[in-house]
Amino acid sequence: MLTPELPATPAPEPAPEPSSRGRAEAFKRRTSWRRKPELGLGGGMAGWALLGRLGGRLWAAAPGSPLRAAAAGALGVRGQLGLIVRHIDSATWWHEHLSEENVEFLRKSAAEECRAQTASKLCPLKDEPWPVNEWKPDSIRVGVIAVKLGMMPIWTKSGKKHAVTLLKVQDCHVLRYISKEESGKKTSQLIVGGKNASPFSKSEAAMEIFKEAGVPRKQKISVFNVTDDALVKPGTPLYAAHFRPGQFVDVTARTIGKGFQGVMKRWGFKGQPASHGQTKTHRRPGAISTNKAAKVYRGKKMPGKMGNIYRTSLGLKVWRINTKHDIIYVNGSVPGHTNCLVKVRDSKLPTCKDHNKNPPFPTFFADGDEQLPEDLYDEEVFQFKDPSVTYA
Amino acid sequence: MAAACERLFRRSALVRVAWRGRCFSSSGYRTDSDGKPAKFQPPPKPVIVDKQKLQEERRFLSPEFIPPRGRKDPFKYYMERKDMIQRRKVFNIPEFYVGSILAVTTADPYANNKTNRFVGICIQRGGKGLGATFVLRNVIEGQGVEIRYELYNPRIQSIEVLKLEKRLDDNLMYLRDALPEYSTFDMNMKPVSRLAHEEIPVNKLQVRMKPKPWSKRWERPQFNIKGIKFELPEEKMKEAQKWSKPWLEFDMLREYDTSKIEEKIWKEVSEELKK
Amino acid sequence: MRLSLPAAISHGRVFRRLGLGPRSRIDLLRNLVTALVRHERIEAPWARADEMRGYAEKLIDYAKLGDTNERAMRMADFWLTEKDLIHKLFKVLAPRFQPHPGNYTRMLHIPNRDGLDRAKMAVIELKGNPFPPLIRKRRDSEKTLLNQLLKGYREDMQQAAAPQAPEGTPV
Repeated sequence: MLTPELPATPAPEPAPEPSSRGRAEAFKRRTSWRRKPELGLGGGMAGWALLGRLGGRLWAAAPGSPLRAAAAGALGVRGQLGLIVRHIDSATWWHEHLSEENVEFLRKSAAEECRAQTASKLCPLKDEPWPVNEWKPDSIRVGVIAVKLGMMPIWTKSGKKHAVTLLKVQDCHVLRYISKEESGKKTSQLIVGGKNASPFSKSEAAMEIFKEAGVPRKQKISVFNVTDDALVKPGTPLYAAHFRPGQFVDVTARTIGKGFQGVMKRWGFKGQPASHGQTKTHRRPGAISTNKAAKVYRGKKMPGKMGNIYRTSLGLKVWRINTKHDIIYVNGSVPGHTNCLVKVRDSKLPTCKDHNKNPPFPTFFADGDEQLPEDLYDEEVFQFKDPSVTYA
Repeated sequence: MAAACERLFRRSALVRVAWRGRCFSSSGYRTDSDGKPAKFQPPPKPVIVDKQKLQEERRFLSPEFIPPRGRKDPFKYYMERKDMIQRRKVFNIPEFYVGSILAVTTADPYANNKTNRFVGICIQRGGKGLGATFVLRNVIEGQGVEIRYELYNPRIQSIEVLKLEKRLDDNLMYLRDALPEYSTFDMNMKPVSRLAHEEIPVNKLQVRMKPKPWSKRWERPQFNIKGIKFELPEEKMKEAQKWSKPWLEFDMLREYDTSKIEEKIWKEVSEELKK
Repeated sequence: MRLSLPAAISHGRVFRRLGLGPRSRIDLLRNLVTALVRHERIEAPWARADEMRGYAEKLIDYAKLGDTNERAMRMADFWLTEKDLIHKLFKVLAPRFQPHPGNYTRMLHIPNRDGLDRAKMAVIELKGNPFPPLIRKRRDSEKTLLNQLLKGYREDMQQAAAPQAPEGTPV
């Protein structure tokens, strides 16, 4: 926990590569015994796929017989030699069909491949970039996907305290460009993914998008509407320095689910008195319509599922950016629980437009000319290097 | 007697050094009474022998460095720690405990000379990370005053430890319900000096309470308070035991062993501070 | 306080509510721990077994401190309702698990209970017990064509990578 290096990238996060990688690549498909193992090994290997499926069915059928373990004592145990209990280790096709060394080897090589993929994308400017345009007041940039780490206080130079949320931009890559015609929307779109995840639990079809971009599988994918001058080539990594201190952002995330709640919690109704002769009516909504209307209007606030929906906090100020660890310090609270993935983009509020001028356009490139210090502060923020605040 | 002790302590009467010394076991004192220092010289000598050992043993890590148990990324606490160390490099945050008497000077735009100094006993330390706080309590002109300070607030200009000691409890919120003399301290109190390598003295003072009702039922086992001299009838004390949960002690999954984390963080912090 | 099982413990719920209250929950788990130490393999509702597992492992951790440790002895005295097992814990189980850092138990899912409630059941055992193994040994698949092909590929890659790095994994 104390390593100053990024503890971000989890070790086994391999992803198959789009290029022709020979036969071993075919083994890297995640193949659980439930699904047909899609081995691209050529004609000779089709039989193995069949075998895998057959084995899977056998496994599924086997533990149907009831079994008594030794609760009553050692007596019950005696005749249990051939007991079949499916253990977590024998659950996947890999574990059933591959020897341990081979499993180890495939894991390692897949992780290695993922690291190589990430490393190959580090210099987007040298690597046939798409045209870089000048920023115009009506251009809309792409946003990033970040992990919500938690909150902490921050003080301004006038001694005022603010709460900030730490958002960590972790393995964020542009995945795909969708043109206006393709999407049928008013603007073209960029798909962005954040936070590497294991490729072994996704279907082939779902992995397609990552293969195209040549990046490891992402835990979260999100679509950003961008103008045509702000396009970024797929595969480009995005950093926290995409935003600058002093600007305002909108943060979208799925809120914490609260389950089925009554009107008092869900909509803030007042309820009824707790005592003074009140019977059986304390937290109820009361009347839901009028006699004259003789119906309940659509959209009436009623009890129901609360939370677990996408919400956006608009116009949050960026106080500080850490470029080394890619952390955005955003004013106030942000929807979602800790460690959830949030979508951060330039604020669309008209009042914030003045502060969002001349950002790094179309995004911040790590191999560009710009050299940034480790910490970027808003000019109002108190930096802990300075002596204490005094009032003249 | 305890109250008398407090008052005495406030006046910092030089003449009664020896008496006070007896009262506060081995709290800080070295004053220039004539014959006493000569007699006091011998005890430090054996102390010097185990001084190195003590220095090695007694490492102090401020409690806000230890991350709470939870599902937050430890990296977040590392980022906070970096700021905390940065602040500690330019601003001296001394070692203190609940029960120590502190004087805190803060910048205040509305005060006459733009600073405000408050003296009081630390009755609580709260929060982890940058948002750590402590509460000072004093009784001024018969009115109890408590101020919650943020440890890393840049408006704090100095934190001065007037008397470094511990009490029997980790939380002295019960002083609100105790007789006011236990939380009355002189605003112009002089700091009590002590040797650097000495063990932190524990003040075994048991306070007497105002008559009930209290803000909380301090006699209940959940608070586990040792610093109160309960003057309640026997059956009341027995009744309070109805709320005891003796099994909690054996609930092993509730234990949070911070010793390893503490060790690591202490190393990190002390290395950084030396730079 | 288990913080690892995300499904069961979202929204800060870290314990399962078992029995008739906190006291009852601990007593219930205490009996299960005692039974586990006695029989080394028991069958129980999955939720109870899962809840008890942490306590059983912690108890063995304490036992590894030795029977001269006062706290370990208190723990053993509380958690083992049958006092003859204290001796077994310190003299048999603690030496058995001394070389292992943790993970002393194995829990397996078994078919649901047949009675009224169709409860999800599990069998939980201490590792290194004298009973016949529950898990069928994995078939040795080393000689299959698939593994042999992969082995060949692996060795090819190792040879290819050898000039640059002696133990480098193929990229």
